[in-house]
Amino acid sequence: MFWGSGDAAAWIGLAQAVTVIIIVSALLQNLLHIVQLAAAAGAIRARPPVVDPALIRERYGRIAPSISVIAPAFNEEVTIIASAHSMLSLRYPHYDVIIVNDGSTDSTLERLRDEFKLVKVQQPLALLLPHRPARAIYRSLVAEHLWVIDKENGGKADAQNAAISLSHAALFCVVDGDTILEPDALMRAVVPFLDEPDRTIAVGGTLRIANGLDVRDGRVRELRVTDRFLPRVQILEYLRSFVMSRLAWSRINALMIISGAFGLFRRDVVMEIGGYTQGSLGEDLDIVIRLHAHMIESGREYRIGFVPEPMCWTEVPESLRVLARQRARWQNGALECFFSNLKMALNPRYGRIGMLGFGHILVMDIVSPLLEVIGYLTIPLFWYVGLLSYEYLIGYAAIVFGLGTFTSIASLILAEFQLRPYPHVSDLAKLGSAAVLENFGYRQLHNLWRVWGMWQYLTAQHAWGEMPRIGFAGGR
Amino acid sequence: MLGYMLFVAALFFCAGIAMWLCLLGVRAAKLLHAERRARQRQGILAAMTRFRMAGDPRRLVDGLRQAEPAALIQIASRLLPLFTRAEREAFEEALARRRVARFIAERIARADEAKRTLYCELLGVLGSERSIPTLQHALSDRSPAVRIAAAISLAQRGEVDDVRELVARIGPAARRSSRLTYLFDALLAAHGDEVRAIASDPSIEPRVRISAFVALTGVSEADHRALLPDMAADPSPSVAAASARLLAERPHPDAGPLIARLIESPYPSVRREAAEAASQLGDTGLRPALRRVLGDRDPLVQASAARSLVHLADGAPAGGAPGVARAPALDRPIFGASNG
Repeated sequence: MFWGSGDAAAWIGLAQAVTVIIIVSALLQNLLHIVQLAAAAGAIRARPPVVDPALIRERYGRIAPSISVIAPAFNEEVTIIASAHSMLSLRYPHYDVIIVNDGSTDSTLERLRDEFKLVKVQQPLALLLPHRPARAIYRSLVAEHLWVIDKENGGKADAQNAAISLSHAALFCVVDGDTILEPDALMRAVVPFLDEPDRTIAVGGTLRIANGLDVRDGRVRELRVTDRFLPRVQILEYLRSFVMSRLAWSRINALMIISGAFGLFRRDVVMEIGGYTQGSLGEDLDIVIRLHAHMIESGREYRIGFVPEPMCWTEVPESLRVLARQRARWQNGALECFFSNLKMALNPRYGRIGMLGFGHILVMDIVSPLLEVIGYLTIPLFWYVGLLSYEYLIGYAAIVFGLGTFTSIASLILAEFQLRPYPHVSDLAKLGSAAVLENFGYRQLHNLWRVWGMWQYLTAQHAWGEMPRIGFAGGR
Repeated sequence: MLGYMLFVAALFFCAGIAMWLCLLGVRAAKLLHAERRARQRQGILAAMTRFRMAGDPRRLVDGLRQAEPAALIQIASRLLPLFTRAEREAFEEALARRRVARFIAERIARADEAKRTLYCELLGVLGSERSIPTLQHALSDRSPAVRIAAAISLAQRGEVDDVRELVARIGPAARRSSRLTYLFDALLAAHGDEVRAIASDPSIEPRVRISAFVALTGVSEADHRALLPDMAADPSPSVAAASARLLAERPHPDAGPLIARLIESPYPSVRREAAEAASQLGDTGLRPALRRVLGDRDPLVQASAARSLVHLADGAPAGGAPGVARAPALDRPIFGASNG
C-alpha cells in the first residue's frame, strides 16, 4: 500500500466510482446492441428478403432508372480487373460503369487499358462538383458501358466527385475499386427508390467479406469462411454492423452511414449538397450526415434506406498492422464528421438524427471505446492494489464477454435469414468459435486502435495509408 | 448487485451458446427441408419434360398431382414466363386440382410480405374466379407492395370497375410507388380513357399522374406525341420535370421547343431537368436558351446548362455520356421532380 490508512476509504470510493461508470457504460453499450438486434429482427420479419432475383427483375426491371456505377481506384492493380468484370456483368437494364483512376502510381490504368481496349474520348470533364483535374477520359471498345477517368490524385471523395460530374444518370452507385458486386446488387438496391421515388434519396446495402472466397470472372463462386482468424472476426464485425445496426437504424429512418463500398444515391440531391467533401477520411459517414442535414433544413420529406441482402464482397486486412491503420482511420473519420457537424449533435431541431443518431455516435464511437480501454487498465489495477474486490473484475469481464458473445451469435442468426448464408455447418462452427474468441485479445486491441484513431484526430494526423491487396482466390 | 450482474452476463453468454446450437439445428432442418423440396421440384420438372416429349397434358397433370401446393407455387413463380400455352393450361388445371387458390387464400393472411406479394401476383395469372375475393381482400393489406400487387392482378384479370376507386383503395403509401406504371399498363386496354383522365386531373397526386403519363406514352406513339406537350405545360413542377426526361429519352417532333419552354420554368427543379435533357437531345438550337440560364439563381441549373453547352458545342464528339438514357426508354420513373 502506498497511501496512508486515512486516505484508503477515499481511494476505494474513487476506484469504485470509476469502475461503476465503466461498468454502466459497458452495460449501456450492450443494451443498445440488444435494442438494435430486436429492431433488426423486426425489420427482417416485416420485410423479408425476396429470395428470387428474377422476381425483382420481373417487378421492377421495366421501370428501372439509369444508374452510373462509380468506382474510384488508387493502386488497385491486383484486384481492379476482377472488380471491373463483376461491375460489367451486373443484371440491370440501364447502367454504366465509371472507374476513376485517382492518380495511381502502379499499373492500374495500364491493366484497364489492356483488358478493355480503352480509347481516349476528346471530351472535357465539366466541373459540376469540385475535383482535381482530369488527365483524360476513356471509353472501352469491348465493353460499351465502361468509362474510365484518369485524373490527378485527390482522394476517394475527389474521385467520386469527378465521376458524378461525368454522369447523367438519375442515380449513382459508389463502390470500391476492390469490390466484387453481386449480379443483382443494383436491382435489389434500386427497389426502395422505385417504391418511394420522391422520398428515397440514398440506399445502403450489406457488405460481406471476400477473403478466402473462390472468385472467378468477377463472381463469387463458392461461399466459405476463411481459415484465418482476423478476417473471420471481421466477418462477425461486418454482420453486427450491417445486419444488426444499420438495418435497425434504417427502420427508424436514422441511418447515419452508408458504406463507401456500396451505396446508391440520387445524383441531383448529392449535387445540391456539393458532392463529397474533398479530403474527408470518413466520406461515407460525412455524406449521409450532410444529406440528413440538407433535407431537414429544407423541410423536405425523405428516406435513407438500407437493403439487408448482400450486395457486394470486399477484401479486408489480414495483418494486424494494416487492420490497426484502417480502424484508426475509421475512428479518425468518425470524429472528423462528428465535430464538423457538431451543430446537429443532440440538437432537437434535427429530430432523431440529432438526438439518436449523434447520440449513438457519441456513446458508441467516442465514449465507449475510451471507457473500455480505461476499464482494461484500471479495473485489474484497482483489484491488484486492493482497491476493488474481485467481484468487480469478474463482473466487468462477464458483461464485456458474455453480452459480446450473445450479440455476435444473435447477429449470426439474423444473417441466417438473409440471402446466401454460409452453406456449410462447419462455417457456422468457425464463426461461432470466433464469436467467443474475439473477446479475448481482439476486442481489446480493436478498442486500443480506436483510441489511437482519437489521438490521430486530436493531433491532426490525416492520412489514408495503404492497404496492400492480396487479390481474389480462383483467378481474375 | 455485482453478483446479480455477473449472473445476468453469464446468462447471456449461455443464451448465446444455446442460440448458436439452435442455429446449427435450424440449419440441419433447413437442409432436410430443402432436400425434400428439391425432390418435389425434380418430380415436377420431370413431369414437364415427359409432357414436352410425349405431348400428353394428362401426364403432366398426373405428375403435378403428386406435388405439394408450395412446390407448385415455387415452380410457377420461376417458370411461368417460359411455359408454353399447353403447359400453362395443364399447370392451371393441376393448380385447380391441388386447390392452390384455396391454399393461398388460407395462407396469405399469415404469410410474410414477400410471400403475400408473390401469392397476389400468382393469383393474377393463374388463379380461378374464386381467387378474386382474396385479391380484393389484399387491397386492404398492411403492406403497400402487397396492395399494388393485388391491384395489378385484379387489373390483369379484368376485374376492375372503377379505376379511381381502385387507386384510392391502395392507399397513399402505395400511390407513391413507381409500380403504379404497371397498374396503369394493365388497365390501358379496358380503361384507357379513365387513365387519360387521371393523368390530366390536377387534383390527383403528381406521382400518380406521372405514372399514368408514363404508362400512356410508353405504349402508344400517338399518346406520346399528344400528351407530352400537356405534360410539359402542367402546373405541377413534378409532372413538368418528368416530361423533360421523357422528351430526352424518346424522339418527339416538338422536343426542342418544349425543352426550351421548360428551361424558362419558374421552378428550379424543372429548369435543371430541362437543362440536363438538352444535352441528351443533342439539339444545338437549344444553345440560346441554355446560355440564358448560365446566370440562373440556382447554381445547379447553371452547372447543368454549362455542361449541356459543352456537349452541344460545335465539333463536340457524339457518343453520349454515362447515364444518358437509350431509347426506347419511356417507361422510366422520374426522380427528383417533386421536391422542387
